[in-house]
Amino acid sequence: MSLKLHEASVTVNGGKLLHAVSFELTPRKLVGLLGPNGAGKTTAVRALLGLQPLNGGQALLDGQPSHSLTPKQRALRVSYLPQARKLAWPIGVREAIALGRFAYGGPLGRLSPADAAALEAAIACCSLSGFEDRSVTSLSGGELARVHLARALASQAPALIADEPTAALDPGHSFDVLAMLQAQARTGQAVLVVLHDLALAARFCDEIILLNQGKLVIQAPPQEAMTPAILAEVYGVQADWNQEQLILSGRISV
Amino acid sequence: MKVQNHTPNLILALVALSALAIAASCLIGLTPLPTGRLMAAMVGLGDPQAELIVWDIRLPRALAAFAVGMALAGSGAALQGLLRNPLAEPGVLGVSAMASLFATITIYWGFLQVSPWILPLASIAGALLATSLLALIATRVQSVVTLVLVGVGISSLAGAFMSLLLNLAPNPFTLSDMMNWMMGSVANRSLEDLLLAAPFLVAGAIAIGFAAPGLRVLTLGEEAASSVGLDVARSRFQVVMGTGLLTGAAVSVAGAVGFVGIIAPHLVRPLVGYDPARTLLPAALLGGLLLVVADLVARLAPTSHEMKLGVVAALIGAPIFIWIAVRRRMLEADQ
Repeated sequence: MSLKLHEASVTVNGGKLLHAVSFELTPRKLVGLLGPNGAGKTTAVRALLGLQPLNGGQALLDGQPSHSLTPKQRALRVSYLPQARKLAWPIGVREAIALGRFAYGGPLGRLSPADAAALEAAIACCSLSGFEDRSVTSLSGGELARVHLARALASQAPALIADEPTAALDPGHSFDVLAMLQAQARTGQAVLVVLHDLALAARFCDEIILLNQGKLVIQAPPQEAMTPAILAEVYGVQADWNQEQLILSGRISV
Repeated sequence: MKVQNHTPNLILALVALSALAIAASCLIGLTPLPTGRLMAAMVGLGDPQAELIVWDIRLPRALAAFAVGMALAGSGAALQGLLRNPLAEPGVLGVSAMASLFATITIYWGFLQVSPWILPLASIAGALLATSLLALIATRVQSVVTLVLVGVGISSLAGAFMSLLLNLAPNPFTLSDMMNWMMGSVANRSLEDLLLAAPFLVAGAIAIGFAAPGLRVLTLGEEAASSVGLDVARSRFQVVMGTGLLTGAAVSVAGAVGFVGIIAPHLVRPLVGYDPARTLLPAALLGGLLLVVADLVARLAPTSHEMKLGVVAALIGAPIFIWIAVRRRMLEADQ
């Protein structure tokens, strides 16, 4: 499974959101997509998935142009967790997770043995046993984040893209989510995660893709991608590496 | 909070209650006849007078109320699933008003003499115009409040044209005919009237049936629904066609009857685990049951003129609509 953005440009209402951005995701790697607010992270993800029309360049999933895939074909290749995660109705946890199997096309409400097995595995993996019959609106933020992750895992697609899965989570739950994504990458999935927390990205990601103002700054392992000089330029923050740890010490005054 | 799911039992109970209510509608009425004679007529062993009353007057009326209630409540449940808002409903969104405007126009200019099919076709055209407009706008604005406001606008516009037609009505007969469509009634409907609407009702129900799994997935929101493999545009098209056909056909039978599309799904939802797909059938059955009972109330109420079904439905439904709207605000404030 390969996911590739090649020289992709996106212009919306005259504003250039992406400017000839190229990057590639490969199996077994947890890749962090970083950048300041408005850098084009979500646009890049949507472009990669074929949800955002390109003004130039290409987005390829397994060598095929993303926009030419039907929603079902895309879902079988990549499972995607968008940012907005509020559910419209207080349905049960198990049913919410089972929606991740939609692309496999079982008739309404009936799960095939393969669907049921994937569902149980996802529930166990995200430690949601005992929550199956709870209503999704009665969950805490951390529990709901695990439900969404379980929904994405249940699809068992070879690639996983999560847009800010740790937004609104406390540090403990953020660690849990990143550890789960890392474990997924180790099973062979290609995993891309959009993050705001640089230290968290440094701690868990195998590779960093850094965007700034719609342009790719660098794609490299954390220590090479997040050097103090690059972070000072892109984020305007003072950062230093202490062995494997990235430590942020404050804003650089201009 | 645990999620409850009693869908199969709920459907059985609603089918049984609906059958009872329709039977009661055949037995009870203004012409006092002994129950025994009417019962005999129902199974085809009665005298001509009792058979006429049961088969030509009361049964068609009860079936019309049931079919209209099913169509409107099913449309409401489908629109609520698509728009992810419990306040979406053919009446509130102006779909019924548009359908009855188009129906009224055919009556006003006497198109009905051309063919009896003109009436359902015109109502459906009106309903489809409104649902398409709403779906088009829904793709552009994310806010459901904006969408409901657009619906209110469509409704007011249709209402204004309707008043204009009433204003200019050439004679009192046209006027009273038109009032019927505006207020909503199933009085004096024949089985032929129902048969004219039936093909459209069936087609609409099939379209909604195809949309059902998509409505469940849309609980996640459009972007996430698309990411698990749903063709959102196709679901939208199915619901627009389905609700257009169902609402248009319902309006061609009974005129504009409001609020049943909001109340029935709302009452059913907690019992089916809030799943928009499982809400559809029980909501439709409950809508049918509610209108059969409301029509019975309209017929039996001791008023000098018979009350219109739409008036009874609005008197009960509008306060419930306000209650749901207020409670929803409170829930959102909690989050």
